Amino acid sequence: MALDHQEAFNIEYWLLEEAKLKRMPAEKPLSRRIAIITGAAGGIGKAIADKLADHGANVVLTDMAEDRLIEANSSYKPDVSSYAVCNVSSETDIEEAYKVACLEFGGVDIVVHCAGLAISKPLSEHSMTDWNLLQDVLVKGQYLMAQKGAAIMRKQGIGGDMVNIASKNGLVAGPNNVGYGSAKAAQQHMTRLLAAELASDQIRVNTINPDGVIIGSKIWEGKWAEGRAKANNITVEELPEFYAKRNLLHKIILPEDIANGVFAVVAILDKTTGNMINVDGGMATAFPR
Amino acid sequence: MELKTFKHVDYLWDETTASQLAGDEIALFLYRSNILGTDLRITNFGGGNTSCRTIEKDPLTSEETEIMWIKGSGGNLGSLKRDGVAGLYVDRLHALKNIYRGLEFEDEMVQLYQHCIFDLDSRAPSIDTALHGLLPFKHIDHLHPDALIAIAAAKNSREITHEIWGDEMGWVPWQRPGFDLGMQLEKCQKENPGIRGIILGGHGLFTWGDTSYDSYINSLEVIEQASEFIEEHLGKERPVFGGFKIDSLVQEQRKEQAALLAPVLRGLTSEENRMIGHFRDDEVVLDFINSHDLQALAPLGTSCPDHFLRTKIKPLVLDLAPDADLTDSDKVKEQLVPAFQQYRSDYQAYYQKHKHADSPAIRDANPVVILYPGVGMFTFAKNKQTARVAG
Ligand SMILES: [Zn+2]
Repeated sequence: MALDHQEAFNIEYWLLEEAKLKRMPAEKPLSRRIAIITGAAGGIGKAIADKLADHGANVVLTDMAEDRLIEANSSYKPDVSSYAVCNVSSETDIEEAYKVACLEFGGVDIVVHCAGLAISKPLSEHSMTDWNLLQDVLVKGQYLMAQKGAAIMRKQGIGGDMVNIASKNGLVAGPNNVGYGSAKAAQQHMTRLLAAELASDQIRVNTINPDGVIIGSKIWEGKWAEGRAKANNITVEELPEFYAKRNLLHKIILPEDIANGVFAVVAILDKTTGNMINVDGGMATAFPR
Repeated sequence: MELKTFKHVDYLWDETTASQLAGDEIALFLYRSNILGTDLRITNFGGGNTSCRTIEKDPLTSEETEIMWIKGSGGNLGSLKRDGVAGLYVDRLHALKNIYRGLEFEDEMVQLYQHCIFDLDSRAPSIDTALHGLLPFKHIDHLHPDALIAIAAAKNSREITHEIWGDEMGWVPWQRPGFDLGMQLEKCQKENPGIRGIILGGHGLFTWGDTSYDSYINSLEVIEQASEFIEEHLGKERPVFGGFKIDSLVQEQRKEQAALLAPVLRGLTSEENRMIGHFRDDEVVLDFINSHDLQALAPLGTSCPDHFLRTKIKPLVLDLAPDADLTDSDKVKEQLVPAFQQYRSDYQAYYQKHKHADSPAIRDANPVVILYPGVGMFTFAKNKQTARVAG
């Protein structure tokens, strides 16, 4: 038995139903949007995913280790998140991750490339393996995420956002940083190139430059921290304080601060593209010119 | 207590948990509601409601009076808590019969339920309040089980009901929930005092019991019997949904095609408002969308009223071969746009034709449910949960 059309209409446009719709809580700034975040199982990437999800977005988390992804994914309420194991230097991995976004939520609106690693060595000690790894994850990963993401955004035809997490080190010639700094600079310039190319599709591309995020960041575990400590003639334990004192505001920079930067360019600064925002407590050497 | 076994529903009553709630009828009714709502075969998300009665002291007269506690407006049985419940005087609900003015004045009754409130912290009483309130039972379940909807929506629903339950089950024809439907339920039960429940044509089920447990078991048994009947008769007279018209792709290819097409569909359905999508390609969905009857069935819309509220009057069936080449999205879009335009103008015509002077403004004219034969079903809504429950 199917409903008579008039009866169906009477239910659909019932005044009491309309009143119920009017009572629904207002939608959040990022509701109806789908974000994919690389490196999202922990640290800055997870903080970004949390921020976007808090403001209503659906999030697709990608990272290398499935167990950490499962744990991260389980921190959200049902119908908010999904995940894909993804090595960002692999074209097929990235295609699979986007497939998850398309099947789970229908497509993608926001691409955040946050996957990263840091290697700090002087030129004489820097190996080809180091160089290739940095280029693969930071530069090639960003390029592939942008290429595959833009293809989906163009299919939808409703614009989109890309946010690349680079670093102060792409702007400042820090000590013993040839591989990492070069890769970060490449990420920053790719942002500008893509912003120019994708603007006609209403796709905005921006960079966030974190600096000195120690607490909660995977990058600071192990060798990198040691390298940074050594390069600055201090101990690893002294690093957070050292980094806070180093910036103009003397602030310790947390993963949530970087997430706020992403939120700002995605949800608030909706007429900004090709830009970069430093989230570093203020570093005169890194002021963009 | 004998252990019941069910094949088509989850029996979740845990005596240890329940015994800790013994004596607290409201707690037992909430417990039952939660385990009923956990199994989506028993009721759809957000659908159905439950109630119980207690005797309380009226604060104005100090006299004992019967109070009905019922799931309030909105909310979901699976997560129903004390604050999601409305408490109303049963005698006042019955008194409303004296001032009820008829079908045209249904909407004013909802305001009057407010005057029947006993518990000042009540959630707003729902439209279904009278359906429970005029029946004389301590514990009542109103559910939308898949199996029952299949029977309630069948052309010969009344005959099937009689075939399965004989004189033990009442039946009332489809009518929009409201005070009048409540009076019909009351009449049906009074005329057939031995019944264990009532089937609402085109809608769902009412079942009841003396205790929360009795009501729970009664509901489960009725759903189990309905499910068995459907299983037995499935495809006997004629193949379900008219037999298979086209074959599905294998799962991997279905996902491949769906992933390629989803962003195109999302773009088209987001023409007015950005949408979030959901995709299903399980057996139930494929049986339906691959069938001979699809072209005939789909335009009729869904049968269950509260389901229909989320799905719109009809789905959009894509005229696209399962293995169509979807790599050139511009070409695909070009192919699909006319069907979307047709859907939107049909919806606008439907609105214009049926609207009343005081009807709310027309809502988004884009399809919610999009069927791709051989591949699966896409649903689009304002968020993932709404898209999921529309499917
Ligand atoms: Zn109902």
